[in-house]
Amino acid sequence: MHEIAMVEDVFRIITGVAAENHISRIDRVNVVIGEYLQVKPSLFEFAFEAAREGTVASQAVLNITMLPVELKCQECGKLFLLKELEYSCPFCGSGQLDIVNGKELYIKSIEGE
Amino acid sequence: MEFKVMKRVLDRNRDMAAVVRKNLESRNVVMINMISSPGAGKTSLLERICENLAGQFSMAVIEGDVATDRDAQRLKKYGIPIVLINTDGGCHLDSNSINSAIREFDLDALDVIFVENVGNLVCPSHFDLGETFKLAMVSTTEGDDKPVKYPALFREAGAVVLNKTDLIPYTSFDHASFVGGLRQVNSGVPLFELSCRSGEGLDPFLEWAGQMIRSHS
Repeated sequence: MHEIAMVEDVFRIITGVAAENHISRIDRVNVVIGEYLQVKPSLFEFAFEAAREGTVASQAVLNITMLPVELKCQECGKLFLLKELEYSCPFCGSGQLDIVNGKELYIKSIEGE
Repeated sequence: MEFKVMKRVLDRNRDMAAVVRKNLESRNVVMINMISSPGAGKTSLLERICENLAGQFSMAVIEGDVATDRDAQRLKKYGIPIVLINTDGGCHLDSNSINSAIREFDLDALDVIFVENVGNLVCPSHFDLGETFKLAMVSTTEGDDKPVKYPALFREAGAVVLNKTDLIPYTSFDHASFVGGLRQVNSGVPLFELSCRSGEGLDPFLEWAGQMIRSHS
């Protein structure tokens, strides 16, 4: 459900960028989403299709790039990707981890005329 | 033609949360964002908190509800300031509505604000409200797999409450599996196992909550 709030904000941003750059038709929206946010791409797309009607992006295609969760161990300093929601270091077993990547949620670019 | 945007979505929520946090910190007010699924016992825990801590601390409550004021009505008898936010179907509270709600309180007179978020384990955990910490709550009747299924909430929680421990004999709740799953996603978070109904296990939680409020206010 939080996909709807995210998509609303996507439209606030892309319509602003379109106006600034005199874009009259957005064909493609490229977004990057970290897997930590538990966004379901199909729900995000569904919300996007509902929100695009009557906007400058009414025909736009949504392109989502999902980024895996990357963790850094506070004990041994090694970097690794999260697998099977196992929040422990595969090298030393520590549970003290920082999330380095995977919380991203941004619009990379839009394509249009 | 491609136009670089590189703008973070939900930045507005983050920015407003920072404003709320700064405002509360400058007035030494603690804000606790309570997150659970519907029916886990957030309002019941708030009732126990009001009964036991309202004499020691100056408290207020922000009630987030999809519709109705039923939860707010339940807390009315404690005579503390309550602001109700109806989200009209929205699945989480955001920092903008919290910023409006806290204007209704005399912040200089308050020690702590409890925010009862909308019942939902996913969305509220991704919307910073400017809270001091998140309190994740789960009940035994929901099953023992919640921390592993909803890692974002349980990783970011400052404390976890397991409610309805009195019902364990009537469910297939596997305690070891629950604790193991919680430690898998968050090895250090304090865990309080209690029953709001029977009162069992409530004292350690209330003592801890009191310490948290004192140390920040």
